[in-house]
Amino acid sequence: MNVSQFVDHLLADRAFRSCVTAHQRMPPRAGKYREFPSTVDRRLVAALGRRGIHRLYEHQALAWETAAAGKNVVVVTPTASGKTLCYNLPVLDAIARDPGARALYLFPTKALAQDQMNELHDLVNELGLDIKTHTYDGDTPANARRLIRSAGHIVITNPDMLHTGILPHHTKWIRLFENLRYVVLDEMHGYRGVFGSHLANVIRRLKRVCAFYGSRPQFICSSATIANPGELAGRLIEEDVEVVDRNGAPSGERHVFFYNPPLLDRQLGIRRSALLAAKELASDLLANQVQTIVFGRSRLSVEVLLTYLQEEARRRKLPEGAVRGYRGGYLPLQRREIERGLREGKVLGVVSTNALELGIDIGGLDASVLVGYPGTIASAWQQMGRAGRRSTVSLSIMVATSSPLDQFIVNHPEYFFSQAPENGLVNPDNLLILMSHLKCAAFELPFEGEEPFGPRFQGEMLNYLEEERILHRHGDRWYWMSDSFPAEKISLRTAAMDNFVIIDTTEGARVIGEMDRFAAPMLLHEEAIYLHEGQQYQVEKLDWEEKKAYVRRVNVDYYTDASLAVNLKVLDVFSEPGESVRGYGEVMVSFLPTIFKKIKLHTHENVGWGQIHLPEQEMHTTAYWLHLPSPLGDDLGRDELQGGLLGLAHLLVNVAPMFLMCDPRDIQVTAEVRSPFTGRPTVYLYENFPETLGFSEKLYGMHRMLLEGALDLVQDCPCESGCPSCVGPVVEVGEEGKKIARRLLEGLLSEEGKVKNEEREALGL
Amino acid sequence: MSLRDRLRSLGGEKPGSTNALAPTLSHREREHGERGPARWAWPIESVVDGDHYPTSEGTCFVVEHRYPVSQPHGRFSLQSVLELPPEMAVFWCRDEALWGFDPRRAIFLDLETTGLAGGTGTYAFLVGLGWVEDEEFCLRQYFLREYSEERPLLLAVNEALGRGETLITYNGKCFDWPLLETRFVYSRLRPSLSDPLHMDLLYPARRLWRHRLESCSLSSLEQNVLGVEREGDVPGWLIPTLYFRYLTERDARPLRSVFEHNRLDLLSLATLAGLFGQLGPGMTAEPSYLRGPDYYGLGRALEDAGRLEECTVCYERALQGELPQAMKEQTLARLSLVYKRLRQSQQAIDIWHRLASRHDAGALWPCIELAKYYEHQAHDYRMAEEMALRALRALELRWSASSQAQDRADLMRRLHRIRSKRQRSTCRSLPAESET
Repeated sequence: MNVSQFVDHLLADRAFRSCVTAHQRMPPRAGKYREFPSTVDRRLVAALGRRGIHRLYEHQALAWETAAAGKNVVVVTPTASGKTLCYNLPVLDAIARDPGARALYLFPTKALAQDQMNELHDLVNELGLDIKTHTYDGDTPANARRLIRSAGHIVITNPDMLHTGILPHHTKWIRLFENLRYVVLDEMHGYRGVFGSHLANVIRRLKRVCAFYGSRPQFICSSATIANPGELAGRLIEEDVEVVDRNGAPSGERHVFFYNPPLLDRQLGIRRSALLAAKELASDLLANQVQTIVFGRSRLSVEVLLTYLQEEARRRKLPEGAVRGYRGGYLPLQRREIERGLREGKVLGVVSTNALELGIDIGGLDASVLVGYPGTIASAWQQMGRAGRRSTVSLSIMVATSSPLDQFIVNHPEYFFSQAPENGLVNPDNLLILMSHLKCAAFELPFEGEEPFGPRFQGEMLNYLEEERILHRHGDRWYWMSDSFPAEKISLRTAAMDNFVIIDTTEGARVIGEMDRFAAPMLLHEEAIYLHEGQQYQVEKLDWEEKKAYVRRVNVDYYTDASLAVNLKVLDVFSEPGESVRGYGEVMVSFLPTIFKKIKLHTHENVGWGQIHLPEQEMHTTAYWLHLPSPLGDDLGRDELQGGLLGLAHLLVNVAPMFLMCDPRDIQVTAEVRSPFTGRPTVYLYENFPETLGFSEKLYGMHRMLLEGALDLVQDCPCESGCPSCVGPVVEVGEEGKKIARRLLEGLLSEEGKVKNEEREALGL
Repeated sequence: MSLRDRLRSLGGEKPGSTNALAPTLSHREREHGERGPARWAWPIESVVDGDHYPTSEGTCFVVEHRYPVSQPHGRFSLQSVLELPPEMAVFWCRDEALWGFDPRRAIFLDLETTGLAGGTGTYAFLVGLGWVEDEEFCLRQYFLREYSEERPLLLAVNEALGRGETLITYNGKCFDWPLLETRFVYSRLRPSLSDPLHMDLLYPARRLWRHRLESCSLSSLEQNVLGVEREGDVPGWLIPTLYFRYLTERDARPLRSVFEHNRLDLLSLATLAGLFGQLGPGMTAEPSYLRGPDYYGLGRALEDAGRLEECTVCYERALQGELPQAMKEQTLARLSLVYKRLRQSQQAIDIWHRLASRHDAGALWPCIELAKYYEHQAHDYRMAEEMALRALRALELRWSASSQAQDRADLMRRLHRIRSKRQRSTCRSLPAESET
């Protein structure tokens, strides 16, 4: 069955149709082309011609013009629209004309860098010029490094390597830095939040080193569709950037379905599991030989789904290896093999986390199934874009879970289809991040006079570092004065360092994967069932100090799910002290994994539990909070109040990302019936990384909007007394939870009204 | 909350291990913020005897020592540096470019730095150089009084480097020279020695002494080979801290020990270089400072260079000295194989017989060697068969099962071949026997 026939087959299915809340057919789009500009080096035009490229897409031509005019550019295009040529064209042209010229490519992962190098090699071979293109990362052999440093024309690396391996050793890269013409930032939309804030500082350092050697590179960025590509690029490189977003690439017809699993119990608001619904849809696709990618939201859901689909594949006698898993913890070789299998069509189905959202080349697939809304519009389009070819029909199905955000989206498809995707937010001046990179920068070159770092002179911080005897001031210069190597201790992605290694001890000892230290306590505690490529392993021992988890293959009919106890302490208040109910400030959050539940496969019933004994972890961050003003809630019993407050917290944390337009994982919530800080029942929304990226301050500013949004969500929900899609399940919030949460919200909103009126009166209005 | 308090509370700043030794600046110091080189309690000039060396961009503080080359250092003198022949330099450093080596154009180099991490934030605050000039060993130490004096320091260093063509260092290939090059690039200067010939004595020292000494650091060689005793020497890890303390407290007194440390390092380096000139191909003396394991190391070096005759002499000498059991067997093994290459079969066979008589897996290879010898050279198939059988027995005693199968198959093949040869030879000799 081809995809077109499959769509008809779906539409003929009454049960399927009854669950569809939206069906969008996007017509095929013809490509918009331009002739090669006459200014492009003829040898390059000829080489591209030999590879079957005789003209450019409109956005490629625009990118060329902008770069040729000496401006920075960010190209915004969907997956598979020939974005690499947008930067390869100006870069190769520059080197073809001036063999002394150099370029630096930054990709967020090593895998992408490798992918890109292979593509460039092919083009350079066709060109027949001696343009040396190398990847430079942790895997580069020591003997090759010297040559790459002095002779590499295009150095392809990742931000982490630039940060620890290149900038602190800039004297060894003098040829690169003296002649650096272009810096390419691919997958720029990924540089937001903590990682983006770090990267912005790495770029400050890069530009500082370039200036020292007398070069001033141009930046070419490429990004998936986000709301603010120009702004994000501008914040990352702190220069003017032109946005090119007129996509000229052709695309085939695409069908997008929003699928809401049927309600099993209207009273309790219980829906059929999205996982099971997705499993059936995917099995149907695979049975009809439609090459399909299924995106799960967590490693756990990926592995559970993979188990189901592999069982299904065996039943349907599909060849061994037709259905594979793909996620961060898999080893590189395994991943390469799966990618190749997808391109060659040997792998019919793949179940992946968002790891495959990035631009790894797996070719275009026929269909994509999203298990749950990925949290952001940009991410949803990226995942759906994995299905889609230039000329044939493709299909995407988003299966909603019962989470409030999913339910909001699936019931308000217009929000998804008409609204701009999220903002990429970064805060390069996050105090901790800035301080870290100020140290690295001082290590690289002394600060002189009123020399700015970023837009400002950081005198106060330099003085602080001098007091701490990390810098030494002499005259008007600050010099590095420590025998340490600062970049080594600073990870650009909070999770990248300190990974736990997972060792299978079933036969001998074999490393099968790794996991970052924040996920490890939840997924690798002793007795946890760890799933890897559909195989179950039980964790026998977790060596916390050595960061090793020893596992053994098992075959059980349950998986495990751990709970986390969160404790929050307010350290400092940034908001006005006189504020009635809201506030924001600095907090210390501590996490303690407590127990885990054993959950039976297929039925998802609870079949046992155990305790987790692991040390507490702490994080300094920023939170926004609100408390119930007296006497709101005072008439309630403790349990009722607790339930209502939990419901309120659940509503708030689910609407907050929509207003912030951020990743839902960036905001976490905790509630206290009697907060030692406010003395009242309080809900805290905190940022899920150290210090702040500005989210708490924004939430504080949109306090009223947030309350109104939460009220809408609870009012619109069809359930009777609470469900996971609004205040949370009845078992957590109690029979009265939904009603009480709603009352609390109304009370809070009337309080806001009162405050408004008082203000008006005070102002004499 | 002030910025300082916020930074402290965020826990981002914990003074590093070295900085922890020094208290942070007091409030008073901060308020009266004395900047620049004024108010030196103990400037370097008051602590170490040196001069202000003029350069085109300001002066640099330099300490100079001159020693007659006959000056003793431990149980040696500097004299032998001048007798370091190019042949030995090539032999020890395995670098053909050193055929042009001239000891009068050699520069000894040793740095004291603000850290071991490398990278552009690591500075060389004391550059120690040495060379031979008019039968004198000239030792100069260039000191960075302030970070801002780096250019004059490098200009002065460059003047001295310009008089040489070969660098002699200890671990300088990995550390000192790249670090100094980094400083030059950083100051936008070009070292007057670019891509110099370089004798890094760490590698030859390891080849020669690692069989006896646990550590081949320069200080270990001083104690165990050169006979140099240091009193109150400053430990290397403390050196960056002492310099940082000098910078912030403006007290140069603790640095006196660093100058001394660097001076002794350079003298030992030069002495060591001279020592290598006396060891190697064509050496006649039997220096008393070489022990059994050292002769083994020397033998290995000669073997690698293809100087087999001299190599056997060294191995024999090693065996005369005291050797740990394992090394003794290793020496015997290597010696027998060198004899074999030299076609001095008898010597080799004697050793193999000695080793083959053991009752463990170690007898395996000598038995095989003997089997080969009796089969191919002596054509004594009875002995060859016996040796192959003994090899099989020895193989049983080896506990690595994985490689056993292959070795067993090889041995069985050998045994079959020997047996068939033996049969053929007995057949052929039978008629002769019947005649007699």
